[in-house]
Amino acid sequence: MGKHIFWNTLRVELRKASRSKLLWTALLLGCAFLALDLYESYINIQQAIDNTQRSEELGLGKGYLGYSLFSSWCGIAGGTYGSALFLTVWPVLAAMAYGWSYNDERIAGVYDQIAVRVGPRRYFLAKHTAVFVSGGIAVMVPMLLDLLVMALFYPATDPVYLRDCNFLCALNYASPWAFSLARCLIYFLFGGAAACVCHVAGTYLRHGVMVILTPYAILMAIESLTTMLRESIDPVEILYTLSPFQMVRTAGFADPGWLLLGTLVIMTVGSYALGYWQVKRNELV
Amino acid sequence: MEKLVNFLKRLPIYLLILALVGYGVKRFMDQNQPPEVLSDVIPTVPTQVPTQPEDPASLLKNVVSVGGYFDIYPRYGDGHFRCRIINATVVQDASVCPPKELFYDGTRFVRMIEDGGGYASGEYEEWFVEGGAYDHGDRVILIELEMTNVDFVGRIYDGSFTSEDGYFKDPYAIQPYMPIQLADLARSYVVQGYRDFKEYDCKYFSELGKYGEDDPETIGSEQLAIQILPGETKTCTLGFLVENKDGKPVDMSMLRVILNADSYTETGIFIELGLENEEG
Repeated sequence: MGKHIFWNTLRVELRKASRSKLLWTALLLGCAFLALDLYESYINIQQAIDNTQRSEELGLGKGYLGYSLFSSWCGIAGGTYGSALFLTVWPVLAAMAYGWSYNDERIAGVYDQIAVRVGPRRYFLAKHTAVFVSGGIAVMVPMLLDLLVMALFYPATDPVYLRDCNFLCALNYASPWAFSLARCLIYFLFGGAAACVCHVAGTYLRHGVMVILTPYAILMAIESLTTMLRESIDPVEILYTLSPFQMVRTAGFADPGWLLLGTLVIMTVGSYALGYWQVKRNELV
Repeated sequence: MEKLVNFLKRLPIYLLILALVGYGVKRFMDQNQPPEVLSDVIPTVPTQVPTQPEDPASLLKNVVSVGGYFDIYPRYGDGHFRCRIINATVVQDASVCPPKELFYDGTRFVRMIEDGGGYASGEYEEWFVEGGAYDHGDRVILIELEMTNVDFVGRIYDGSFTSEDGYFKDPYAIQPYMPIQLADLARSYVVQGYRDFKEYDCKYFSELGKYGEDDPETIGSEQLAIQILPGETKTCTLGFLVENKDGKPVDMSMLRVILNADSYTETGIFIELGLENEEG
């Protein structure tokens, strides 16, 4: 019976999330940023083709050194303005999808109506799950589209190398497509985890905008601390990164599987624990 | 009044969040250029054909052609290799950027593209960082391969990196060529490869790869992959340092070139060229 109630609640929450205008806005914004990335990548590869053709005409040989889909799509490179923009704001997009809903429903009093029927724990778990899924979708779908659309005009040649300490680095060479799709999945998980961070604030923040900005602010604080720490230790040595901003990009830092998984668990379970603690603390029913 | 008090109570947190967001925005602005500027960063090919040295013959020594063309047919498919091994002398430092005619084989100049230290997209300016590996006066062996109808993966190694079955121990060195998918880009995108050294992980180099260092300890292995479309013929020249400009020979007794005519399956379709230098 209890399980049945939970699944019904989850279904309702997922339906509410899918009908949220902000989820679609986040998706559109993400796609817009990555459309810019695609445009820039298209210009870049066209210039590479022109250069190669001119190079051949001049007898200078030819080559597409470094131009590979698997190294240039947004999930890996972040070399274009559009992709850099996306990789900067993804926590905001994730939170925008549905992360604000708990705070919104609590302030509007909808929470009381639901919690009294299904229980606060089931409600919050269903809410947390729906927030995770919608946040993940808001980040992953534009990423996936970027990969697939870029594959239409970018050479799928061998990818550039990753360090051994990068998660799934061997797969990057053996099966670049599988690796790229795995990275999409990682973005989904991090998007979901970032969206869940909205629950850390509970109902303390009364403004929806502030709730949406909370994950970004927390991740940026971690990023700043990580950067300061790294610079104070050894800026050259390869170090583990604790910043999700850097973890998702596989750029320059060690991000082994245990670290990725640990970070995801801390973000998701930690935000759930803190959020639920506040639910109980502010219990009205 | 109560609303104002509540707002003021939360104000520090709001300000902290906004400050962190502002910091993120500033950081982004500092680290990223607007799209218009990006196009200027991409290097362009020089518009003039490089000029030959005024008196190339005066720069040459010991130019001996050691072989005419010989033909190799892969075991499977209808591909065809045409090989020629040439002794040549470096007539221009590879550190010259962009490299011009680097080798002279007695009849013509051969240009070799250096890959240098750059490995990431767009780092063209670093292509020539390691160009000093070939100096003016070095003696090299050039292997010229003319390839028709083959999907080619060539491997060059000195034996120290290989397991008994002839594969590289380093799994990253035996990656098959990734064919282009989802897009009809048959006209291009044929040139990518790997290059492995003991001190490096993996680096790209271009169609005209090079091999060899002054110090035998640093000799590693490299691989290049070229896809040639049906009916198409391409030429690739590989260079191997055999004697540096001071007359110091490089031990090449272990050097082998393996041509794999089927890079998709990687199933032992090897053609081996045994090479020995004058000392070996």
